[in-house]
Amino acid sequence: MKAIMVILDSLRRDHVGCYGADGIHTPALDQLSRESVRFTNPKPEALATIQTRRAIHTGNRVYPFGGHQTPKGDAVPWAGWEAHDEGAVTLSEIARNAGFHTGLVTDVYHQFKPAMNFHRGFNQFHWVRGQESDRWQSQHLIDDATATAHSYPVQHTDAGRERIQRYLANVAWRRYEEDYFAPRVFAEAMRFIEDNREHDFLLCVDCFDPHEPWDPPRWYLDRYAPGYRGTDLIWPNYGPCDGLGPEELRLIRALYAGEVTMTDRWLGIFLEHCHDLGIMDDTLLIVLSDHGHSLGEHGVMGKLPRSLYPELVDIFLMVRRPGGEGGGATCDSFVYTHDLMPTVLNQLGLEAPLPIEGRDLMAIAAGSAPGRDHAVTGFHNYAAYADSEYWYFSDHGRSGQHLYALGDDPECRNNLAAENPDRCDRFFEICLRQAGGEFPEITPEQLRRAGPWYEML
Amino acid sequence: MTSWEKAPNVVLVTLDSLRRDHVGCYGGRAHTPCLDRFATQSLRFAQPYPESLPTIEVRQALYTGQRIFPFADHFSRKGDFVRWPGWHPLDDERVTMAEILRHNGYHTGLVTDVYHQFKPAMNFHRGFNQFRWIRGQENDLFQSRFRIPMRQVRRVQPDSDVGSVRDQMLRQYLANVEARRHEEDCFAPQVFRAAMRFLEENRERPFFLSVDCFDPHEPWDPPPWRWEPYDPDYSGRDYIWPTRIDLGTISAVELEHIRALYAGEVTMTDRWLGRFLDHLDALGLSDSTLVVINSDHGHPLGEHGYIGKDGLYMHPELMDVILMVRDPSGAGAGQVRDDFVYHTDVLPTVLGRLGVEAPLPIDGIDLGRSASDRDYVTSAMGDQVFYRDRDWWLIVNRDGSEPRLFSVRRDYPECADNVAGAESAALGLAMQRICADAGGQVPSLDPVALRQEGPWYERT
Repeated sequence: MKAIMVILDSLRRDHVGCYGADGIHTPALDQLSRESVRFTNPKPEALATIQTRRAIHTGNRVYPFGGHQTPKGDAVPWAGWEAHDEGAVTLSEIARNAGFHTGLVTDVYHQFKPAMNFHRGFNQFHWVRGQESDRWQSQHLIDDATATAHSYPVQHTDAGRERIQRYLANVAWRRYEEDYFAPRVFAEAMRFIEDNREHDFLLCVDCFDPHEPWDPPRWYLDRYAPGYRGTDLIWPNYGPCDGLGPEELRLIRALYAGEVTMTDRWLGIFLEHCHDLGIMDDTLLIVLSDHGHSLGEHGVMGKLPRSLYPELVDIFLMVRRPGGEGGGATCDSFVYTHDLMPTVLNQLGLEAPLPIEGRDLMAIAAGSAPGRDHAVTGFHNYAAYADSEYWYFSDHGRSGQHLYALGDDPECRNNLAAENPDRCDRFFEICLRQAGGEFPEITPEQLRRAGPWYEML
Repeated sequence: MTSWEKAPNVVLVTLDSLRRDHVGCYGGRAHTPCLDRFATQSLRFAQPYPESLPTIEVRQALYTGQRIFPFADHFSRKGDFVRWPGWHPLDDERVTMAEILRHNGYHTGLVTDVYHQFKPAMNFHRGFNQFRWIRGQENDLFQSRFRIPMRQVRRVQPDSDVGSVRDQMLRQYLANVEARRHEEDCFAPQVFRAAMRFLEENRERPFFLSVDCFDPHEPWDPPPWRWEPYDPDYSGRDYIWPTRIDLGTISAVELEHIRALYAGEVTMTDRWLGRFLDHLDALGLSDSTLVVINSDHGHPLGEHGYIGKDGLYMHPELMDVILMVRDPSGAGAGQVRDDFVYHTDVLPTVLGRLGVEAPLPIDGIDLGRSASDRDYVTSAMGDQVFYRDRDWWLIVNRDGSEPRLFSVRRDYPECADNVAGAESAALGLAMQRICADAGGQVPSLDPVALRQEGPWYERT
């Protein structure tokens, strides 16, 4: 028996064809949905990247979070952005202990920053270097003019230019599509399958694409912005996007969509190879994304705690049983990222050594375990509540509440919070209860420890 | 001291497991022409010692200038099979050489194949603007071990060792190096090639480059032309990773061959270090770059009945390391200094040369300012502590039991004649000084903290 988990970073649910995406080309994911149970309401229990990895690998909620100090060597100032707890036991540690060969293939460089430990429990791991701000190549290889051409005026600071320069240096050697990140990650994953196909294994393919920077080969951009010949603004700043004109916004969305399609294509090549190597009748496959990404829908770009709308929170999740048994079904229960671990354990016939909060997705889909009719997602000092009718989010201090009726207003345009204080109270209470009755204090000083010895954001 | 208008670049080269007695300019037995030539251009320290062992402990001292000895707060972590006390990430409160130099405008780079530095929870890439990790050394979990049939493992291992924990480690290593074809694909060459690329890219700005080369650490598998000069007639098997084997089970000829493999790896490493130094010349950087070369510890090769690193074997073959400093002004070139120095002295010496102030008080001293006035050195590895002065060499358990005291004047480097019983005054002074360096008393180890067992911890 084998299990493969594929995580696609920053892939919005509304950009996946089988979830009703409008005009986005994802044939591999669409085909996979016909062989899988497709969950229509999956949520990350917490954002962002590192928080979701903690939940996925341990089966426990990370929400709520606080009290952590950003160590030297990292700069991401979001609560819960921490290494695995030393007391936690990870899925890979359990599977390895039971005799599975465990592998991690990833370009999510955050997992290898100083003091991080996400390769715990893996018998074999490949880190594909160079994503985003990975300190791989020298930023000095790229001159200022080139950096400026790839950035927005707001990024024309020393730190902003250095980030762009480092990324451009990291990818300066690329020549062909196979040299891009998602292709390199899936090519490495294919090598893993070739090497270990005769053994029981657990493989986690953790692919940073379609995370920004967005710079797919031109032929993917041509699908979504044909004829575009403007400057390449590959890496929008996080924050308000009112400085962007409609053409720039259209380009950014096209670049993102192009990167989604490229990633889907290489996922498809990987799955095809798994079929060719004859392992898919004996393999559990889970494919999901960790969070979405705001592309100007509510006036902001990026991942911001204060903008916990569906475009940021909604993810996709599909589980393919060995042989594709029961494929094409859907499950409408609300499910979480921390449900993956117990699902894989049960399919592999393993037991968790510690109590875990996640639930077996297959049992939920079969009706043999209780589902959930709502979900709570945490992001720094904000929490979001969602059920089939309402979408609510607020900061911990309730200084800015948002309430939307999804039936009439799926895009969350019309904030009903002021007229519905009772409903807001109820949803906030649920967020608070799931946090254990109170939110931990989040102190900016701990998370943004400034000074010469700390990283610049 | 110098005609320099601007502070020089800094290159720090660390060679893992390079014994002092294998380096030509130290009177060693291996062929190391590049290190020997470098010594003529450098201030060479004849008596450098690690203040703690092994690999990770030394990196902490080197990068922070702070002693790790006697590492009272020891614990094990998931994701690392090494359980030596003191084998920890850098303390988050300390500030490293890379962090300080980055803050002072240097472009900081790390090129290394010392995979321990990238294990879960480790943080030795802190402060580097750019870092390159050459994958695959030793037991790095890089390639699938299933690529290698067990019969291939047998060929590089004594038959008596079959079934040992090293089976899996050797299998992992052979998988890691399976794609190797030419000498340039071996590890030291890969590391120094990456370091040369760093120089090419960053030659036009102030830089600090740490080249941390695992070779000549075992496994010892240099190309045959590297070991053949040391053992020309050998035709048996290559035992490439013989640490902790029972020496009673291999022949004298096989032991000599193991030593030849090590010496061959030393020579290969020296050769590629030389190419790197030549590249500094070619790029016009030698006269604007401060270069420090050191080794972290040695490696016993059966001199006292053991191959490997262990506190019980803190004899010269493990403790004697090298340290050379080449100032771009030529200051000190060809000179040899005899004072006792530690890895902790490297950081303050570099900072002193650059005119940069250390942001925190540190234990090390600026060797460029004056000679060290230390009368002795202390160190520790695992359950044992170490002491030496001009007359005596001591290896003793943390609780003071089983002292082994040797006369440096009569019995060095052999350390064959334990005179602890007869020399109680010397022993007493040594123990007193060890305790003083340890802050009053050498802490005993908590085996529970160190040997977190159970399925979630690494076994090999």
